[in-house]
This record gives sequence, structure tokens and C-alpha cells, in this order.
Amino acid sequence: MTKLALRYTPIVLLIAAWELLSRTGVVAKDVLPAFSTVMLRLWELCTDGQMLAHIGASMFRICGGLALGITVGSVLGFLLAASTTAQRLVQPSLTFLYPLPKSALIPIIIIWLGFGNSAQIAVIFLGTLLPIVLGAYNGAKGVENTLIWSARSLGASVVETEWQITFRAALPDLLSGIRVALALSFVLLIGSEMIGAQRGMGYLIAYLGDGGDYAGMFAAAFVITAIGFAADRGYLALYHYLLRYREA
Amino acid sequence: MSVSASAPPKIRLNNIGITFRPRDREPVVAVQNISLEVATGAIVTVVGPSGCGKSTILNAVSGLLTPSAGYAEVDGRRVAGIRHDVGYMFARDGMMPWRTALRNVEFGLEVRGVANRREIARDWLRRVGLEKFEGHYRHELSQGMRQRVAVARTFAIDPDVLLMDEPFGALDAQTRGILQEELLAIWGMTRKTVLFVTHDVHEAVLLADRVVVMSARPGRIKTTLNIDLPRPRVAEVTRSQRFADHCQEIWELVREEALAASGVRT
Amino acid sequence: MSSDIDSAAPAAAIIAEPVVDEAAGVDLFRRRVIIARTLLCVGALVVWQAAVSVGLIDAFWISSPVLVVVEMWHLLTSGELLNDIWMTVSEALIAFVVSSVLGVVSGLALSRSVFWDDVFAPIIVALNSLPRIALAPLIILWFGVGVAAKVVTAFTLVYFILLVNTLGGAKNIDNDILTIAQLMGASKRDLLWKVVLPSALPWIFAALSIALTYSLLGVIVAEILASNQGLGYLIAASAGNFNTAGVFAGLVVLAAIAWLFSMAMRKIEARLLRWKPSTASA
Repeated sequence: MTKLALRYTPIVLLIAAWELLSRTGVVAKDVLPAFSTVMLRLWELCTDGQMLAHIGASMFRICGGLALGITVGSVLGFLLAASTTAQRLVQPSLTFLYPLPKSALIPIIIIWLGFGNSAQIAVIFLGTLLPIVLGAYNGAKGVENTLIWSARSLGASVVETEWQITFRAALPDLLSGIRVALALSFVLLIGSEMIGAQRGMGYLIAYLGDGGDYAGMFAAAFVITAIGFAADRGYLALYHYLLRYREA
Repeated sequence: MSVSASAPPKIRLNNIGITFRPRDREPVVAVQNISLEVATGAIVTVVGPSGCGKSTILNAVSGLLTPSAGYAEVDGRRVAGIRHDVGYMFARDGMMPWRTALRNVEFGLEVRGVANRREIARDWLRRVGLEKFEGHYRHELSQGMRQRVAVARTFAIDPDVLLMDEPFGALDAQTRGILQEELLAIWGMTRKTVLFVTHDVHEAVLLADRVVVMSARPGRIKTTLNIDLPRPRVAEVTRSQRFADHCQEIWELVREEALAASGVRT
Repeated sequence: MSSDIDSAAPAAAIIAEPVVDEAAGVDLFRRRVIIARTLLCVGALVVWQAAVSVGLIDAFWISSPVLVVVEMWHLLTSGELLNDIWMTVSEALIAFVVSSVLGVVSGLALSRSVFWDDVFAPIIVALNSLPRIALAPLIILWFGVGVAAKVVTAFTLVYFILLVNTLGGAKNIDNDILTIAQLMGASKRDLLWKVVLPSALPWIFAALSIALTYSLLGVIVAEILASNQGLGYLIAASAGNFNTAGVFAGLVVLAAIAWLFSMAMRKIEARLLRWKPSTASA
């Protein structure tokens, strides 16, 4: 109990310092609204229903983009691992495109797809695709041959072997790739919503900021970072659950 | 014991007891009432069933841990804190993978600021037969070669006392045999004081002036035997009846303890 | 160890070239692979150009290779492109270097003290999993439109990646090596420089390659959001005028820069980590 208290003391102190800095006027209220002001504004935004609608829009886009990215990315990754020819042909393109900051694609995708959900979903899909491809590819490539040989010699079909051995053995790498993708998806979601959207948390932050409602902007930023944090922790729990056989 | 009054022992363990107190669990008595003297230039081996606290004795001499009771002495001075003048070898080679074989051997000399460290390190690599591998990294060496690097690294700093914790335990039988011979050859030239922990009875007899047999946990000294076989311990010695008798006798003692440790009563 | 996933463990960051074992015919084989790849790229460009020329798709939406090259030449000769490249590259590099150095230094410092590590761990773990890009408008509010805001935005993205990974690498150290080094008389300083740092280096490099991408990403987002210079601005401004050729010109240049960065990083990594068994042979 005391240990727990000690662990979270720094966070409490940080909040207290924030409140004090703003209240005493050391930092201008516009630049840094007091913690209590932000919390009050957060309460207002939540109770008048605005916040929920924006959260809903953002979550729909994240889930859509990630679902696409994970499905297409893992299939592509496994195919690349299975076919040396395909790998030889696309390897240079992947090497070239992997480092490109995908946020740069936002403007062109908005031109193509407009301000609706599809633009954000497309950005998230494109941005998360390569890390997932890479995770699936590395995982599938790293499968020990002895595992595959012994499965085949025990009479497993090619499909069974792929599913029972390759997929299972590739899971840790694939799941790590998805975690990278999850973090990226939030960055791309918020970035693209700030740049071109009429709903969503990124839009709300930009909109409140433009209107000079800085306490509201802090509140919205607080909410989306909390959601991002919760998503990451939730994913970690899932990761450990799926890989529980590894933990001795 | 075989220590004469005129020559004080190099290492002295004075009634050492070590108890681990893990948080939220019952304390574990690792060893109790350990008293032992190792004369300068002697090799003493310690055998016993696994988990009897053999390694903790070495840790008490090196100062890596402080005994709960009693104390260790080196050169008549009590051990307090980590000693930098002992050579330590583990079953795992402990090679730094980011340094070449040569630079691994140099490490100890480097942190001591020895100027001609490169020559000394080269010389030791040559003595363990690795002069052609000085530029190789850990992953490019076999397990036996890595352990040879560990031997060279340990001797390069010219320690008075060598503490060896099953240094050849992870090697295959042939490599182990070769490294035992090499260790004896190097020891013959340098006459270091060696405290050597092993669970291999043959190894214990082959190397030792004296073998200490430990009991199952809590580890106590069960018996001490002098090995009065001639040196160098060439093949004729190891094939002799006396060698076999020593092994047989110690094997029986260790077996009793191993059975006791696993809960079987004899 | 079970929370290793908090930091990116060293792994192959890119799909490696397949290894061809047979010594004979390697040259011929490689030549064929290169020809096939070139044909693939050229083919894609030709199809793109043809689709627009034939009138299958309106160049307004997807531009065309010829239009992109023309636009690039135009941007280059006007000096605009070079200025934008300079802005984006310098901002990204400043953010990358500053946050990497600070991240590694604070990670190493924190790894030396169990107490401070315990105190800061919850904050760092939390901050590292936050989508910190949400702070970009706040940062622009605080630092104004300009270099500082862009660098700080990228810094908030990159710093924690380095910190968490350096800390993870420093804690992942082989205890045998640490013990032996201590017994051999290594001072605290020796331990830090000669044992902890080299042992954490693979982890640091794993973070650095992610950090490079993120620092460019942060700068580009900030440039798109609020700026009047840089490749992000070029892309956003072109998109605002529905000048798709300009958008593609900016994207191609940006991709080339990002690729050069990552190649340079891999060269440095291969040099500093040449003691690592290569992943290709494993």
C-alpha cells in the first residue's frame, strides 16, 4: 500500500505543480489553464454529449483502419515469407517505402477520399500496413525448420502446417508488429483528423484550439491520450494472454 | 589439517554460515559451519550434490556476498566488499560479445591501467592456443574456445587466488578433458592458489591436493580428503588404482548426500 | 523480463535480401533479379502514364509520371524545393539528435539507480504509450509557428522511445559479465562505458531506427498543421491547390530522404554492431 502510494506520488506532485503554476499566474492562464479548470471543462464537454460523438467517430476509424491493416498486412507478410520470388521482387520497394513518414500521405488521401471516415481509415490502413507485414514476415521466416519437418512427417497437410505451426510460431513477432501499428494508428488518426475532418478527437482538439478554448483543448487532448494509453495497456494484456504459454 | 604453523593459509574460512532471507518467504540456510584452509599454491576442490551451497562459499571469498555468520580471510585479512585481486570463472564464459577475444582478455588489464596490456593478453591467448583467433567475436568461437578465453582473461590479471565455479561444467567431455590438462599445465607454471567447485568427482580428484565433500542442504563440510597422487597428473596417474580408489570413495560419499537431498533414505 | 515488449527488442528492421548459397550462377541470378525489379518499376510507371494519357483516369486526381517530373524540375529551378528540403531535413535531424542523445543519457542514468527507476517508471511507461501527437496544437500554441514548434513536436514523439529502449537494454545486461567486470576491478565509470553502454547498443539502435521515422513524421505533421516552409508544407499547400503533381513531387523527394536516412542509419549500425551475429546466417 505504501509502495503503491510512493509510486504514484510523482504524478500527484506534477498535477499539484501544474495547478499552482497556473493559479499563481507564474504561467499565463491562456498558455496553461489550471488543472481544475481543465477538469471542469472536461466534465462539461462530456455531459453535453459532444465528446462522446467525437470519441465514437475516432474509435470507428481506428478500428476500421487497424482491422484492414492487420488482415491485409498479415496475409501479405505470410505470403512474402512463403514465396522467395515475391520477396525478391518487392523487397526494394518495401525498403524504399518503409521509412516514408506516412503522415505525408494525409493531404493526397483527403483529395481522393474527402473529409469522411474513409480518408482516415485509408491513412491508418496505409500507415500500419508495413509494420504488420514486417512482423508477420519476420515471424514466419523465423520458424524453425525442424518444427515444420516434424509436423509434415507426422502427416499434417500443408494448410494444417501453415496454420498450426507457422502462424503459431510467428505470433509473437506479428503481435509485436501490431503493437507498433497500434501506436502509429493513434498518431495518424489524430494527425489526419486535425488536418481534414469534421468530427473526431483530432478535429475537436484543433477546433477548440482555434476558438481559443484552451481549457477545452487540454481536456480533449487529455481524453484521447487516456484512450490511447488504455488501448495500449489493453493490447498488452491481450498480448500476454495470447502468449501465456511462453511465460515460465 | 595439513597446514603447518610456519606458512599461514592463503584462504581461510572461519565458521561461515550463509542464510538467504527472501522477502515474504522462509529464510533458506545455504551453508553452515564452514571452516576451511587453503595453503598458498594449493588446489582445493569442493564437491557435493547440487544445491548444497558450493558456489556461495566462493562468493564469500570474493566478497560478492557477506556471510551471515563467521568470516572469510585472504592473506590473513578479513574479506569486506568485492575483492579485485581474485580471478573468478563461471560455467558460463561471461565473454563480452562486443569485444574480440583479445580485447576480452585485455579488459581486466585495461581497467587497471596496465600499459603493456596488449602484449600480456596476446601472450595468454597464445598459452591457451587461441593466437589465431584474437580478432574473433564470441559468436565466432566454439564453447570450448570461449572458455579458453575465460581462462586467459582470468590469468592475465595475475591474481593470487583463483575461484572457479564449475568452469568446465558446460563443455562436452573431450573439451573438458583438454581444458583440465591445460589448467593443470598453467597452474604448474604459475602456482596460484585455487578453490575449485565442481560436481564432477573425476575432475575433483584429478585437479586437487585436497577434496572437500559437502553435505546436502544446509551445506556442511562432510569430509576432507587429501589426494596424495603425484604431479604432474599424467595419464599413468589417472589410470592408477589409487586414483580409481579416491574417485570411488568420494563418489560414495557424494551419492549418499545426493540421495538424501532428493528425499531417498539409505 | 515479461514486460520486454515495453521496449522494442532488437530485431531485423527490414526485410533482408534472400541469401543465395550456390556460388555458381550467383552473378547471373542477381542480374536477373535486378532486371525483373527494374521491369516491375518501369512497368508500373508506364501503366500509370498510359492510364492518364489514354484518358482512363483524369490527371487531376492522380497526376502522371511526366507531370510529376516537370513539377519537380519547376520546383527545383525556382529554389523552392531545396529550401523546403533544407527546412525539413534540418528540423528532423535536430529533433532526432537532441532527443536521441537526451533519451540515451537519461535512460543510462536511470538504469544506474533502482530507486529513481522505480519512481519514474510509471510516468515513463504511461508517457511512452500516450499518443503524444495530440499535444501538437498545444506545442504550436506554446512555441508559435516556426522551427521550435516542429522540433519540439518531433522531440515529444522520439525522446521516450529512446529512453524506454535504453533503459530496457541497460537492464537486460548479462549479470555474469557485470559480475566479472566488477571482480576485475572495473570502476563505476568503466562499468557504464565499457559494459552497460555496449551491451545496450543493439536496443538503442532498434530504437534509433524507429526514432528516425518518428522524427520525420512529427516534423511533417507539424508542417502540415501550421507552417509556411518545409516538405510537409509543400505537400499540404499543393494539395490545397489540387496540384496533385506537386503532392507527388513532394512525396517522392520525402521518400528518398527518409530512405537515405535509414540507409545511413543501417550503415552506422552495421559498423558499430559488427560483433553481432548477422541475422541472415541465423
